[in-house]
Amino acid sequence: MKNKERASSSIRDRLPKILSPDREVLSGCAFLLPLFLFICALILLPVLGTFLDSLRRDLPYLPTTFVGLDNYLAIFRDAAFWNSLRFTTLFVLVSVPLEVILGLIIALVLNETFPGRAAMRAMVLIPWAIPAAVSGRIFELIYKYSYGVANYCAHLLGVGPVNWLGTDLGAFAAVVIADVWKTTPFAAILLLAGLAAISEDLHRQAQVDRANFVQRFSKITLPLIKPVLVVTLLFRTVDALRIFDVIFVLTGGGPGGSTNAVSLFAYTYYAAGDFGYGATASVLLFVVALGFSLAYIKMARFGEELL
Amino acid sequence: MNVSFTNVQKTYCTLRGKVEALRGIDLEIGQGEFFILLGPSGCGKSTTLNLTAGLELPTAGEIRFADKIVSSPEKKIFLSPRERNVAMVFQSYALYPHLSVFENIAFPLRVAKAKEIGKPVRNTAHTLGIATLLDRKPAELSGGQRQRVAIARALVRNPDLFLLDEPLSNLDAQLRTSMRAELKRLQRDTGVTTIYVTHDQTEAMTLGDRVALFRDGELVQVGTPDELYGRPRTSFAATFVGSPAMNLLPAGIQKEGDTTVITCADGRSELPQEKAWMLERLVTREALLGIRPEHITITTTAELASLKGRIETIEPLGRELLYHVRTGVGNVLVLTTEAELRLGDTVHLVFDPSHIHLFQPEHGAS
Amino acid sequence: MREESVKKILLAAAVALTTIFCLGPFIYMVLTSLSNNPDFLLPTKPFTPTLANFMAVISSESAHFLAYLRNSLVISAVVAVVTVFLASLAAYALTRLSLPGKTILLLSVLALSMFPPISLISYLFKLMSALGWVNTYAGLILPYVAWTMPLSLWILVSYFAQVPLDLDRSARIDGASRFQTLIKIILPVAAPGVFSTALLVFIFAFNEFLFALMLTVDYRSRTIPVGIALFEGIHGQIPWGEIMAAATITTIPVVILTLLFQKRIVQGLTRGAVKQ
Repeated sequence: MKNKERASSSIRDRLPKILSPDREVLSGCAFLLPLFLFICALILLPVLGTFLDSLRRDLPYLPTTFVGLDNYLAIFRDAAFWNSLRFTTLFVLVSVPLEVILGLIIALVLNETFPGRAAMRAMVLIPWAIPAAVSGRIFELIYKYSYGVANYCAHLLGVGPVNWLGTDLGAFAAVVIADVWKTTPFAAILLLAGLAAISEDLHRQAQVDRANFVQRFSKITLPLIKPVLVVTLLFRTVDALRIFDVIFVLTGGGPGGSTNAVSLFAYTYYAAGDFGYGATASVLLFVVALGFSLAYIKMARFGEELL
Repeated sequence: MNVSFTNVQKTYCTLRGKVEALRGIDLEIGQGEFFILLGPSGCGKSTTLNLTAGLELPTAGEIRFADKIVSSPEKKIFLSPRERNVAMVFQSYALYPHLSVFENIAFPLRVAKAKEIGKPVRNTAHTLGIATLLDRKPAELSGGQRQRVAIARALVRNPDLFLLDEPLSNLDAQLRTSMRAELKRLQRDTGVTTIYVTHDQTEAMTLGDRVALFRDGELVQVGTPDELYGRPRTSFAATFVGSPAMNLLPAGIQKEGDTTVITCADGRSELPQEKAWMLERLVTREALLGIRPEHITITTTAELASLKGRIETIEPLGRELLYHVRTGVGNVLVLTTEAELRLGDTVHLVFDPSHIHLFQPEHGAS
Repeated sequence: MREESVKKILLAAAVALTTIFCLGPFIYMVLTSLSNNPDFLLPTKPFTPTLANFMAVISSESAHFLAYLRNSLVISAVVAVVTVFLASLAAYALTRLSLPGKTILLLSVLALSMFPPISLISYLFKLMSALGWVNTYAGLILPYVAWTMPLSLWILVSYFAQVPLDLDRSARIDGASRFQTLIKIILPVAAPGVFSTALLVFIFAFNEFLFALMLTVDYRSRTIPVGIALFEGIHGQIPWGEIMAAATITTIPVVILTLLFQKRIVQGLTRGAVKQ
């Protein structure tokens, strides 16, 4: 028995230290493997592939060749691309603050106790829960020039019918409203969590100290939800940058390409088979989104306590 | 089953740098012993338990169960908890909240795919007096009941080794006392080798066959409760064991002919011959004299060689009283049934020579 | 006291406006689906309630509505189960085992969830084409699983981290392997969190648009969002009544899920994004 032990242990001794596995690390890797495989194969690999595609001329019926940075040079000279970039930027600058402010108002409302609060919280979630494409079609109907409810309301208010989807400004407004409707609930939920985290004692203390609602809001509530506010803003910004569904359905990028988001710009080229040029736009969007997501992660920095 | 530790070390790498939880301990635990691991928090006793259970790997050293190696980083042998036949009861009991009491106790049997489950579970439940609770969920039980379920779960599979990590610390005082007695009886009846971790020296003294005192990852002393109480090896051991704690007074050593005299301010004691070996511990002429509060005689009459002092505080403890006496060498605690003394009284303390201890002062300590 | 009543009025007004804001488009959708003619708001046109739109949508072969619905429900359900299971494995490892670089891994995975789908789809399409999986269930399920993994992992990690480690240790000492501990102890104890995660994954998969748009061709695997987006009608004029009927039917399962499980959904979402 002892000899056998000595023999086998000497074999193990001869194994280089790196190979002799710590059992825990080994099982840890096994548990992480499926996730790792999926993410590498179906997220990282495609991103890499898109990067590579942007360096190629990839058109149907023509051989795919390596063109280096030609696509990038072309896209930087492309007025339509700058147009889509301008639209995307404007869209983000207008809709994100709008969502967050409206979300804050709704969160403040939901933070109060009143009958039917639970029902209202569920109701507020519903726009978020339905597919964006479906909400896009509903809004397409709402904005219908001849008989949509938007112009019906405009008529009631004494304002003439608005050409929502036919004018640049109208289309921009239409898209912003449709997106804000869909995404405000998410902002509201996040901000509600932040509000709920503020101890009730702080408010009571402030009331005893004779602060009115506005003062309490600006001096206690706002500063304490600042971290959540920043997180929500960044999160929503990254999301707004990649807007696609609503615009595809509602305006298709029109009228005249005035609501062409960068995602849609790239998609149009994909749909036409031009993978190289579309990839170039996708890569640029990716880089911008990545920048914001890194900022978001840095701001949030909450992974550490969990582990 | 006996357990042995040979130069076992455990070092943790944390964000704050290396932490040496165990600095090389050697222990021999005999078959059927109720063995206590005692020490303040952070001393390494729980780490030792985890290493015994196989929940962690030692950094160096060897752990054997009945002469079979179960952990040895050098020999690259490591048996997982599954492969050792140990059972453990945690401080938090760790009952599976979604399973009934029956299923909690049955869990180890089911995992081992045992052929008989119902009978062993019911028998063990009966032994621990929880046979009527088998259908309930842990959330419906009291603290004491939960603990019994944890113990039942541990014992149902007849482990070779029974490990307990401060199991009584979450119970109220009365329950603790009754559970202590029950645990002792249970261990005697089953005869299973038990390793029990606690920071409560009363528990250690009443429960253990032998006690290992830990401090900062090192073993200070291993022995029976009597040995630890009567012959502590260091001042730390002396003050940790026994309540109220032993008095440690700065003293001087003088040789007067054949006898060694210990002086504390105006008090003098002769060191008995049988305690001469204590002098070998000392490095300098300054020493600490150790005397337990219960071994001091307190009188109002001045006696030869007594230490003079004034009563500062009186703590009635029921049958006895604890006097805090301010003397020339510091505060001395005296435990006695003498109840006639008052605050501010001048008193004289005589130390029982057969219960005197001598220790080397530690750096900075006195 | 004046502040109290002002606050009450503001609150009531806010509640009313929020309700109109949230439910308005839905009400309009339902009304149009029930109306004989979509232009019922015009003064000259009447509102005649009818179920014809619903019948047309459900029964029409060329519309393939029921096929789309079936595809969406099946794909979303499969994705929910698979993603949650695989993410549970990873979440268990991250919260229980000491591995190097855990935090970096978690944060990187979070960054992945923020990639624009457009930056993936072209290569995904080529990959699926090469595998012959365009227009199949697998061609959508696999990308969806990968796509919803980051969020699932994040939420599950926050739930698993709350399960006491002593339960693990106890199970291991009782002889359970790590996998058995996960299945028999951790998952049941964290069941509410696991359910929330599955719910969210289902909703995300159900609502996804771009991947489905490019990776499906026809009714055999096309999902509802794409189906409704491309619903053009056969005769040139867009059949709004039928589209709204389709939309209504689509939103019914989602609305039911939301109403039943709003607490779980909210919990899952906030864990995914807000410091606890």
